[in-house]
Amino acid sequence: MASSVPASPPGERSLTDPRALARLKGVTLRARRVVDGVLQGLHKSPHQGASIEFAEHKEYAPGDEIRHVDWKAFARFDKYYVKKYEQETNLQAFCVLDASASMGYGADGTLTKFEYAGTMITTLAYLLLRQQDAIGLVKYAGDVSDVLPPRSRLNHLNHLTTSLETTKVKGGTNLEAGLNAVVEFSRKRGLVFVFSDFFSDAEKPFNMLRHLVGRGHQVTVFHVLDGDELTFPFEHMTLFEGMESTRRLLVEPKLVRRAYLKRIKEHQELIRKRCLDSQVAYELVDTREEPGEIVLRYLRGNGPSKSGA
Amino acid sequence: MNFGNGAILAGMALGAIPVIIHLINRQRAKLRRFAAIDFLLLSDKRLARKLKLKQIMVLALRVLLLMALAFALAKPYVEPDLVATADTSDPGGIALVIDDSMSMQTLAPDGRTLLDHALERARELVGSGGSRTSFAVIAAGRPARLLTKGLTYDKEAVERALDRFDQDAARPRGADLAAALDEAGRVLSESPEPRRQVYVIGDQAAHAWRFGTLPWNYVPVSNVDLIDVRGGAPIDNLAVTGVTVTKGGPVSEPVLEVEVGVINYGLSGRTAQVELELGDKVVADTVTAPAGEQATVTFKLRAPKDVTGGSVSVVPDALPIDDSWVFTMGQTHAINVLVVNGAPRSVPWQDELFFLRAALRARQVGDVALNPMFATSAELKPGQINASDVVVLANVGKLTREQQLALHNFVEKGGGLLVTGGDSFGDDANGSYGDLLPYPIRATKTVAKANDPAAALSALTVATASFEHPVMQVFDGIEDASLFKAHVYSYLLIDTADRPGSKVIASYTGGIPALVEGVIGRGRTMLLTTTLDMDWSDLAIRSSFLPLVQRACQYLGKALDRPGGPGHLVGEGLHVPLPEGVGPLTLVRPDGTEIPREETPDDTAAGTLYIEAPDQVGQYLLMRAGDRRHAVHFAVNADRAESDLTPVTADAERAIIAEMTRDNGILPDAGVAEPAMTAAAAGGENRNTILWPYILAGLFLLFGAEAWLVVRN
Repeated sequence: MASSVPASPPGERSLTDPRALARLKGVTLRARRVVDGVLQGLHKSPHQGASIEFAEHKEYAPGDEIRHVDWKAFARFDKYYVKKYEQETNLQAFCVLDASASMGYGADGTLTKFEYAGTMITTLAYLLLRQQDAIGLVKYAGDVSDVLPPRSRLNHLNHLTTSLETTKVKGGTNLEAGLNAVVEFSRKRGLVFVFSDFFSDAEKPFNMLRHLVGRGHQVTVFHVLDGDELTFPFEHMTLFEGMESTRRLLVEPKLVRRAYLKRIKEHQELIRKRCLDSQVAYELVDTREEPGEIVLRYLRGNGPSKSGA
Repeated sequence: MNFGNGAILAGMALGAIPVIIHLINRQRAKLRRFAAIDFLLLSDKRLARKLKLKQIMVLALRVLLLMALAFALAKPYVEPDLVATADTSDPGGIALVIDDSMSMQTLAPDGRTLLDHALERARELVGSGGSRTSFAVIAAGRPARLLTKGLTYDKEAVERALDRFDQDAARPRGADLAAALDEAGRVLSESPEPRRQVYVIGDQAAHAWRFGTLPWNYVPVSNVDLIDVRGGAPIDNLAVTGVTVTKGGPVSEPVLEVEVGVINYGLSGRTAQVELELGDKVVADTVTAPAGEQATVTFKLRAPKDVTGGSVSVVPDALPIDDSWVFTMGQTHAINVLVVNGAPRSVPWQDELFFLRAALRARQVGDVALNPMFATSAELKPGQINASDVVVLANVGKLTREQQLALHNFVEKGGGLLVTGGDSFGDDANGSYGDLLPYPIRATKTVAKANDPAAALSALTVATASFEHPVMQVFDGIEDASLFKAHVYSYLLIDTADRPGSKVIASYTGGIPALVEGVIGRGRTMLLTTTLDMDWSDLAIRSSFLPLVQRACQYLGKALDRPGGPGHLVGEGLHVPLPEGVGPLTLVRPDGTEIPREETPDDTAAGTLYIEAPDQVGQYLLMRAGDRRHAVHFAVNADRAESDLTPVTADAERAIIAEMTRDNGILPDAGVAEPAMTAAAAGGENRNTILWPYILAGLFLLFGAEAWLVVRN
């Protein structure tokens, strides 16, 4: 929440600060700067994250790869042993991104929620592709608008960024449709990252999320909210207009601040509780924070396991 | 509903300000697209409605606040129902001030007196009072009297107090509303209840409301209600204002000249028959008096033998008591003048009082007679002073402390003092006289020698005079009056620095004060800066000398003040010359009752007896040992100030009550804004309901509610 946002020292602004990133054109440039910071952080971290790990030895049998023979074990035991690895195939991840009109909101001079989520997705994609894992993208609003199936080639990053940069947010929200696309396109268990502000029906999507978890996916919800939405800092008489509807309200902000903050807090808690109940990881994304910090926090805490479950 | 300051009502337009501000803010409101508007609109519509209602309430409260402020400042009040019965059932203290002056003896169309109506109205008020209402009854006739023991809840005691009016009704009193209201305020200040009300029940005649100084600026009174028992209607009245009797003709067959004054207080001129009754003789004549003016009629007739007095009357009207005037043939209303000689001489024409003695003894037709008594400054005793109406200190340069104190008390109680100059005055005169002198004396100045042939060239003359002053009125319009030709060679130079109540009446050439006047308590003092003999001026041999000194004495004796002409009045004390002979004194009143009187050594020395406040109209008799032949007769009449029944105007009434209630700090506008205050007829009342204090209280509540709503949001 607002109070947890680390403040930059006075007169010193991080290059990955949302306001600084907002001045960079294109999600690729933004992501590259964020990735640099994330990589520096990972170097110091004790958690190496996803990598192919040794599981057990087995006695050599004809047909086994000669290159997997453990020659050190042969020297000790005078028998041929072959190394067995836990995961032999690449990790597969899906990013499900809300492209409804409400994601187009951004406080003055900062990234919109959609741009912010796009930067995080590009950062994650770069990290995953770098270790030959596959990543795909599902964009949805009132319906699914674009699907990029998971690929592990490095030039797949270009497809992702092009898709993110050419998207215009509009329409309502139908997360269920987005998650259905994941079910349809995923051939094996993997990671699912959901980026949304959840300004829609808070019940329906979770049935689908539970279904994905049941299929063995490791699902993480990134609940993207703008700083304005979390603090409601407005002062003077304002005519508020909805972004997904034509509803309007002329009000003295100070008269409704307390009630609004109470309700937005309840909404956030509801989403978090539903996630926990559905065995879905939850991460609040406050767009005033640096995206790299959030990615790092995720990787250090709720990072994906090799099993993908 | 009426308003004290109706113009301020325009300020209610200020109530539009919050609405205008709201509309401007609405126009200036910034449009902001906001994703989380659903949380702002509050999907719970009940909450949304509550918020909107709250906004409307805040706006409405602000509008009301400003409008109520303007409304309260306009001082709204509700007019009373003039025919409604007074509500005295609330807890509180009520002072019933009932006018029982002579004018209340006026007969109403139903044949009952106005006082009867006033008492009936008072009884109604007492009857409608609740058990927690206390009453006090105060009579407004002079002297003002509290007839109950302060405020009382005992209605029987209040009834007994009201019954006493009937017993006292025969005595014609003047009105003293000022003292009565003062007493009402004092009594009400003892009331434990917050509601303190005064009802003034009477004819509300204008003369009763002419206060010299307004009373009770300290009184915490909630309201003053005036009840006019005659309904504000004017009543015509004709009154005999005085009689002057002059004897003329040969001593063997004296002829009486009786001059009668009649005043018409009606709205149109009237001709009335005047009857003179003298012994068994009755003569009549007619007099025509224009509206609001006085006329005189003179009778000439042979004086009947052994007749001591008589009466004059006109046809009885609504107020019968002032339709007749009783008088005596002898000197009955003379002013006792004690003349103190400060420079006695054995050669008569050189004596200080040689000219004054003659001037005071001369009697002029139609004037109040002076009864001079003489003493030297060494012989002057307090007893002599108190037996006098006026004291003249002729060239008395120094007073003993005892004399000074006696004179001070004498003047303070209403006596008159005339001081005249002379060579006895030295440096210690100021200290000796104290505040008896209107202005302090600085020095003695001489401009010429009296026996110098060229003295007339350098002598001073009286150059200016205040002709409005009663003493100088006789010289008004007489261009060659000898007063202005008299030569003054020496004079007392006085310091006319500001002294409250003192003024210059006449001045010599160059503005040097000649005659000055001062006030001490109820009495007057005068200083003539030159002498009464020929030492310092030749004024004494001028023809103006006689009217000057006589009118000065009459003025100091207050004989010129009485609107009803010369004579003794009911309720006023007087000095009566002692009858000849020896034996106990008896006073015989007009109704025939005999009252034994004691004679003190002071009375004997002064030669007079002081009669305190006679209470009956008619001829009195003071005799010794039952000897009526040598008895002294005097007549007492009612004060004609009460004869003017003109009702007070609503404006004057408002001004008086506003003045009375302004300083008490409780309700500054109590009963003031009502334009038809005197229109309340008998049986009605005119109490206004003041609304603005309640509105102000509501305003505070509105302000609190507005603040609470805003803070709560």
